[in-house]
Amino acid sequence: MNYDGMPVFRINGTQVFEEVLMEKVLGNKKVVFAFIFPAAFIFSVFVLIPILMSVGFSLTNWQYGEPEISFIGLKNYGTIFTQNDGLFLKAVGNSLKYMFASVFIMVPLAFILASLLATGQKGGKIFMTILFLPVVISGTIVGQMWIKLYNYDYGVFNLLLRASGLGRFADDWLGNPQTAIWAVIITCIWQGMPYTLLMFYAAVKGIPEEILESAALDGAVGIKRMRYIILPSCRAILEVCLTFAVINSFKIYDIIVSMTNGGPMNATEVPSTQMITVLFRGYDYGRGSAMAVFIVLECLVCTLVIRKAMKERK
Amino acid sequence: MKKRMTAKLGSAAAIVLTAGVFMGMSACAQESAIDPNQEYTITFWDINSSELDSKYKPREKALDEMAELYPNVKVETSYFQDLQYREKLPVSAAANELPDFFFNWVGGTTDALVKAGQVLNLTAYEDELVPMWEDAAADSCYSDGELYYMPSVMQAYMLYCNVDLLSEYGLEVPKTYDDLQKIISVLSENGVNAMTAGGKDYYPIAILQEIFDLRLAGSEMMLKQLNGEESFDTEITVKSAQLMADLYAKGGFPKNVLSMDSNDAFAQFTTGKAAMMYGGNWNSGMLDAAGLPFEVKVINFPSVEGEIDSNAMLGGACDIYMINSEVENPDAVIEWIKEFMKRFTKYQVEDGGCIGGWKIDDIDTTNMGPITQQQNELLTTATDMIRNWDLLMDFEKALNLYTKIEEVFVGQSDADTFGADMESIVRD
Repeated sequence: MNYDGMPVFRINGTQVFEEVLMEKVLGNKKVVFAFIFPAAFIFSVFVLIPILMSVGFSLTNWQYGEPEISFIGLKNYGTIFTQNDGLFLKAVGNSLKYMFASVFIMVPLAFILASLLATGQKGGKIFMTILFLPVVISGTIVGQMWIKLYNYDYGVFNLLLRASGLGRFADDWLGNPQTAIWAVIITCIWQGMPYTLLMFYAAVKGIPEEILESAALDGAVGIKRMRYIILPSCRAILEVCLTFAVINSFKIYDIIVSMTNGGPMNATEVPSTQMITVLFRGYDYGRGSAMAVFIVLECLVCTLVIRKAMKERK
Repeated sequence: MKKRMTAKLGSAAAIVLTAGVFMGMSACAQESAIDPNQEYTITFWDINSSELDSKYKPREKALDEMAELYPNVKVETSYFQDLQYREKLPVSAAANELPDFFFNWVGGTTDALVKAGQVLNLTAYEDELVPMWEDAAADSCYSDGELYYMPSVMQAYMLYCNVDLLSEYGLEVPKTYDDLQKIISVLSENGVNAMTAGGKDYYPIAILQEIFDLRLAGSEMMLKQLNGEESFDTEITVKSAQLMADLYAKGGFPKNVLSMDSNDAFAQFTTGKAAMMYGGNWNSGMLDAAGLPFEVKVINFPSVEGEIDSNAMLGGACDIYMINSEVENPDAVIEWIKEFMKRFTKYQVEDGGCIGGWKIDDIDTTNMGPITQQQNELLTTATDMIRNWDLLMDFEKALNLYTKIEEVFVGQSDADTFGADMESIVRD
């Protein structure tokens, strides 16, 4: 075995190479267990067991105040889609709209901006700082801020429309069921994009300068450089960003509650607002748990689809 | 046991002004269930955790007095914000971790808590407690005919009118629905909002349909409909929805009524951007405190053609308190709570805007503003009162109903089918 250049440790005065040490450590099952146990324990207690409990509750008719709880199989999973005129289905539809907007607008936009900012544009760092600001503001405050921007009377969008002679297009963006969901999605994207942007920025910065320079010599500049050099180099981060974008769109809650509370006329309901309503207002723990499990499954399936798609592209 | 859901409020002046039985000061003279030689601890949960919240100061004042009256009773308080409490209460109940004495909203978890056996049945104390309460308040304290809750303050809905703004356009405070339509027509022609409401909070729109229904059908019929003895699919329900929808269709509300919450609506009214606001009595104290530069007249909702009772008002007890069924020394705890609630309610009424659910005869009116005084006078004329009925339904049904009402209100759904839709939502 060639140990040239390998990090060296000293134990009781004896030289030990890292690889040898790792082999020894990994061969000891007790040590492996000691390393894995804390994380596995925390994961089990705070993630796995609650999910399994939710799955269990979702198979019962548990309603707070009802003395008897019985096993009803998958009935709740059918009920959530049929009850209340299919409101949960509508909520799922809204979260899919947000997901598509995240995947096809937010992620590409973040990638383009990151590519521009990370490849020598003047003031890139200042822009990054400014663009990152929305991430540090809480969802509730972001919601309140955008409510003011969308206000029919004094909101900046309507003021601009009126000032530019397009007053007939001024609308109650959050009060109109046709526009409310998109108005909320724009806000969510505004808040979520900087995080994605930051990840892409780090990935682009990590591309060796020589590659970009030799690509430039070969004529790969502008969009070509972005398409053929930067994007393939960011594939791993792209997968992470897409996964986060999808998961966040199914989890969205605070901004919706703050901006519209699911209204008007349920136009901005999403699965998580529905779940909270059923669990904490309707006290229907069986049905609420079914919704929670559905959200988890939705995230899981989409994550697997993204991973598979990215693998195939590789 | 008679579950009284409606109440004749011919003597509604008693809510704040007329004589009742105020037994608090005589508590010590009677044989007390609280043994002065024993130490007691009562755990107490309530909403309004900030000093700026309306209940906070009256509650602290009452608690201070109680500490002097019963020094051997230690009270451990925990206060929460509304949203936090809405989630904390059912979770604590499910974990069997409720305190001895706690706040709840009517129509919230009330019946579920009773069904779960977590609320002390007060029926044995009924003869002692109920005579101390206003009738309309007592109505809200029963579940399946048994007494379980204690009232605090009540709510009633009234129309607040900006007299100066109306006069500016040669208009007067509306007495009838036709007057209301005339006001809407004149003001909308001049680009002024006739009415305002916080549609984002749902109930401000729903109460419009409900007041029309109350006027046309009467409270007894409404309760029969809710209890399933009568159908909602009637011409009256349809007419009430149509009357409500017509107000919006004729331009009576701002275009952004569905995206405004109650605070926005209040701001619109107080800044003179809307001439009228149909809202709860809690606005009275706030309007007094706002020191408005215009005259406000408080009236009952204008009368409608074909109505049964033009003095009927929407309202009733909303805030209630419950006692844990596993409380130690229930007699002593009930005695303490009784004395506390009388003081707490009195100070809330005196603080402005509230309508007491307890009969209190020594209300100090010196700090009450003119709008609150108008409100109290108006209440003396109310002959029939029913709580806004969305509070009497389970939350999900109420939400579905709110949505349907909003659809009809803005013309996205036809009022003709509202009766059938409502019947299907409530009976689902």
